[in-house]
Amino acid sequence: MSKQQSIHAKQGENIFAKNPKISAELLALTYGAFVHKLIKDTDNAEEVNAILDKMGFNIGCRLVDEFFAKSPTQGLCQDLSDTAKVIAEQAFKMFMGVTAEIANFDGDNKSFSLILRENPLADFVVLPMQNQKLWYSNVVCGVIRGALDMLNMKVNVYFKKDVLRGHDCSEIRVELKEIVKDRYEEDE
Amino acid sequence: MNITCLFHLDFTGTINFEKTTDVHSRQKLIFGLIWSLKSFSQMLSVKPLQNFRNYSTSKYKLHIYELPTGLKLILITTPSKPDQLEKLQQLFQQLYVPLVSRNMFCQPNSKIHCKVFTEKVTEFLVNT
Repeated sequence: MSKQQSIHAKQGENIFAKNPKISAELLALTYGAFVHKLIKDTDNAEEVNAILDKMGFNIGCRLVDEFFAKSPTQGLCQDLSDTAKVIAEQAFKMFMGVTAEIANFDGDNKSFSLILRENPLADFVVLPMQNQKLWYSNVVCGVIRGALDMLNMKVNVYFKKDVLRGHDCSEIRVELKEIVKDRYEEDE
Repeated sequence: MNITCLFHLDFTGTINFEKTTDVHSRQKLIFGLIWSLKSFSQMLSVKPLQNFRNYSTSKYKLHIYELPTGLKLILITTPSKPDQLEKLQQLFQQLYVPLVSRNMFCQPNSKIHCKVFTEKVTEFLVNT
């Protein structure tokens, strides 16, 4: 088990080392400015959450190609715990430079949580009182949803805890709804 | 499920692309062939199988590179060519990802109309 884990983590490290990088501050500030603009435009935290999720979804659909281009040996995962490991240890490291921890697998292996100890998106952020409903990093949920959607997995992804709201860590919950089976039907 | 042909190129000049029905049925045949090959090769194996890579006849060889997302890259060559999996991987990594995935004018899973992509793929396949 631990050996398996280290393979993904190592792979993630390797790819991260090769990736071209931008300053984390630049990303944090740009993202911050962007979210701020969204809040100004819509004036509704829940709407902003939805927009961020949708944006993330579109990013995820493309990012998954990038993921497989950089990690060509990665095949389809056998089960959800495998998926969780690849996301937490490999994908998060590759694209965000941090790793997530996996926790709270539920009984029938249909959902799990990703715990983020550090979140480069939210580096300089303090959530103002009037925006307590905002999930600031909701774009990440969208990315996970989009990427898994391309792999025929329909999932629900949402933030359960966020450091910005005073919780002790950020927790992203991933729930598997269904795996769409490849089907091929004659159309004649 | 999505079975669109996103992109095709022909260097032999034997296919009449103006007859869209022909091209369409050809694409469908190739898809069906790969589908059956995959399920057939899987049937003979107890463990989940790595993807099917190529088969050859006396006249041609067909190479397949399939990604976990279901995207398939197919190359038909002369039978003497060695396995082209690496080539197709390179094509995906060096051309598809930068020119299609990162191109905001190309929607995922829809036909690729990017001119640069066509040019680069032609260049890539002819020169290497």
